[in-house]
Amino acid sequence: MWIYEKQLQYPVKIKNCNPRLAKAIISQYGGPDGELGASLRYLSQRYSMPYDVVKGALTDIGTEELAHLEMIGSIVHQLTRNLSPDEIVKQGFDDYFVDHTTGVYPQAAAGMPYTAASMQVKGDPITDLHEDMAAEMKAKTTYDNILRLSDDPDVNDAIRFLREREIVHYQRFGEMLRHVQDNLDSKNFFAINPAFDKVQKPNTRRCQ
Amino acid sequence: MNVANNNARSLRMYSLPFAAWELRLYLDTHPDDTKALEAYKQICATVGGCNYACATEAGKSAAIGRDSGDCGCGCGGSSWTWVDGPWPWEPEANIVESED
Repeated sequence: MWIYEKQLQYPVKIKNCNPRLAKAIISQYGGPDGELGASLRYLSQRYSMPYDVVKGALTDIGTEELAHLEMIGSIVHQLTRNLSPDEIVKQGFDDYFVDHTTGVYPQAAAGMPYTAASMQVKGDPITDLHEDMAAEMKAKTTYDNILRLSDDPDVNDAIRFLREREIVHYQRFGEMLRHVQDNLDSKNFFAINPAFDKVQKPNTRRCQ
Repeated sequence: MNVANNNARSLRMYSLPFAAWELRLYLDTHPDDTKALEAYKQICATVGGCNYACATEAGKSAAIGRDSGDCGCGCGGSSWTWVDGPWPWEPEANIVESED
């Protein structure tokens, strides 16, 4: 179950509007490697994980990604306040504006609506954890690209926080992967799926 | 940096809750790390109590037969029991009235 804490994890307070930049940053809201995808991926994968440590970490990281989704939504919202029709056209924001005005819609920068096709829940712990490590790196690279496009210090401060979190999550997923592998016979890594095949006792908390 | 660690308000709003959260993620993959658990408990004490999730956990833990002294978030226990099952999507964690 979820409880909402009425505060951003890290503050977002942007002085200047910049709809062109908002269109790029919105990819971390509804794009292929964005926070919505990340949270849905992790919160969905946890059901088929046979290890408490991984259930717990996927739940907590998935929850944190929702907090990041909220930060990105806040950034897009603040970058698109007080726009004149002239600015909207000049900054190339008109194609988004016509369908969404200054609402925050889950789409990629290039306009594709959010799709679960860019994520996977394979139901195999080792496979899914590799997916998760890749997801964190893809998100980090996206933030790298946003930093290349932005010279707004208020935006960059929040983006740098989010980028750093991706690196930390990558670290945690590596630890989860090692925990899963430690609980498998080295002859077994690729022989069985511990989420489905019943060859050994699942749901161990500590490394054996 | 938009968060300064040198004033009480920033600390209470952002830095301390974030430090606790970061320790939580670490404890999820290292549930038997007592140093990290102590650090987490210290932050809980500094901010004047555990987070809201803990308050609701305490009552429920007792109801489903878990040790009521441990709210499940690690604040009262000797190891990070937050990760321990059953998890909500598992049948054992759910109570329906038709059962005795």
